[in-house]
Amino acid sequence: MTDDLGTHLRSAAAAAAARSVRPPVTAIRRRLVRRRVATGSAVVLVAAVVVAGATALEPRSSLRPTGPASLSATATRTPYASPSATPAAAALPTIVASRGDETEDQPLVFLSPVTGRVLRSMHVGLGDQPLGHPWISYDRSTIYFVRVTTSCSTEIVSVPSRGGPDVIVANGYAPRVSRDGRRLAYLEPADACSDKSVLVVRDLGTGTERRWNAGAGEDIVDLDWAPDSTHLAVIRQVPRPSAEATSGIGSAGYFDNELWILDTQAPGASIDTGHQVPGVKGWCDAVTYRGPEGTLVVLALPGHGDYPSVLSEIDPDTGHTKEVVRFPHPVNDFDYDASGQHLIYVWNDTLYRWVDGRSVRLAGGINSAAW
Amino acid sequence: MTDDASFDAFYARAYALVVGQAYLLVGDLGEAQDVAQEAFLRALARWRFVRTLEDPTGWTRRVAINLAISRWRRHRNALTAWRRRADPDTAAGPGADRVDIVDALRGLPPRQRAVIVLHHMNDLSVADVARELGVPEGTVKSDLSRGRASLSRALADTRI
Repeated sequence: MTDDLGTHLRSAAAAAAARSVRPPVTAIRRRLVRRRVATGSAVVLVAAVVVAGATALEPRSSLRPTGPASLSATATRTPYASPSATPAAAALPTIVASRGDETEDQPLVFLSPVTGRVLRSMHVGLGDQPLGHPWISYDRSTIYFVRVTTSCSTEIVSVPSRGGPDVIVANGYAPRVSRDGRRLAYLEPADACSDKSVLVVRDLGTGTERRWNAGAGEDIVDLDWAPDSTHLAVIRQVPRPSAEATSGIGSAGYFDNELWILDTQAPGASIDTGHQVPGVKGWCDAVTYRGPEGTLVVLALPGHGDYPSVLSEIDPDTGHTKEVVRFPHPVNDFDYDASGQHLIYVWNDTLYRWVDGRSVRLAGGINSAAW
Repeated sequence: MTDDASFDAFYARAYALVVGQAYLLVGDLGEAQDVAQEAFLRALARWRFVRTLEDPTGWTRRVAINLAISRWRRHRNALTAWRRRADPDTAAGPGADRVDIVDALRGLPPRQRAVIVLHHMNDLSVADVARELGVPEGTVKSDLSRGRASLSRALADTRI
């Protein structure tokens, strides 16, 4: 009986397979590269006030308390309003975004945070190379982004925010510049066509670099600088047997996601030398330090592939997690403004702003955005 | 063989198995193709790890299974895709007996369907199915029994 059923099932599966046209393997490779570009968190925390319609990005220094907060400040947060609070439209900075559609130029665009209207475009692509991971330096003078170079590699490029020649900074992705502007952290693929990554921190003054591997983990997923410009929050994936994993299936099978705080001034060449925030963080794939106080926030799926995505604050000492936003769908990319009060995110090539506890669509054709 | 070449060969060899299984799980060829492509994308993302496994195809099939299950969880209230009566593709359809088994599967609740496919098509043991789905073994046995009975009634075929 059961043999017959198995035969029936295999026959039906084979028939379906015969009707399915196998996409070329290059399509799979391209999707992987595009996802790598698009799903990293744009985590710059900027504080400029840019009136909608402005064509230049104003420095944030006049708008935010100066002086980096200490790492310990992340554990004793200053209360703040819900991110759903209605923003004063004129006080919101211009959004920098990369276009997700394969247009000829793949420009970076500057968008109104209120209407989503394109205020300015910057043509920085080469042919149809996808762009992603836009990231703005703390003084808003420089935009970093990621450009796909081949089916298996990406490069980090910088360009002045007012326009000018673009400069290839490194081979890698997920660029993050410290708030003091002195260090660039990014992820560098360990090998071509592998997304097992190495964390690199480059001193932008001297050009010297340090590297950290994933240690006991399989991969490093995302990172962000603490307000002190010395510590990095890092998400890494750790492979587990299916029966033990609490995060469910990740990008590489059964994984748990861990959040680590790494002191970049301390010796060591592995994430293991850092401090692990207690607990497993579900299927989290993005981390940011939010607002001037640097509240640690992660973007995660609750577990085992359940949707929607949620944003949660995490106490770095205790690992205590507090959900702050539950989105109506998965989220690929998010960013808070410098105040930590206002939130944008990207899902399905569409840019949204989170207003009064609901999603407001701003623009389509966007794969990643920064504030 | 380079990593690139070995993945290409693996993809060509295993695609039909993965998409076929996904079809039985999600009930729609378009969705099955999405699930299969996502599973292969994840295999590619960790190909240096996956290629060292004894059974890379099995790993990818497991990923596809979990993706399919995740989709059910995302669409708890919708069996619409599963209950669609026609596939969107224009290629020649399957034979009548295959339509019967697929239609019969469509009539099963998602978990029973998964239990049937995992156990009978993928040859997973009851314990493995229970672990995959996160349910007690007794539940798997119950679902197997009820699922087979439902299929028998639907197909009016005493061979099953």
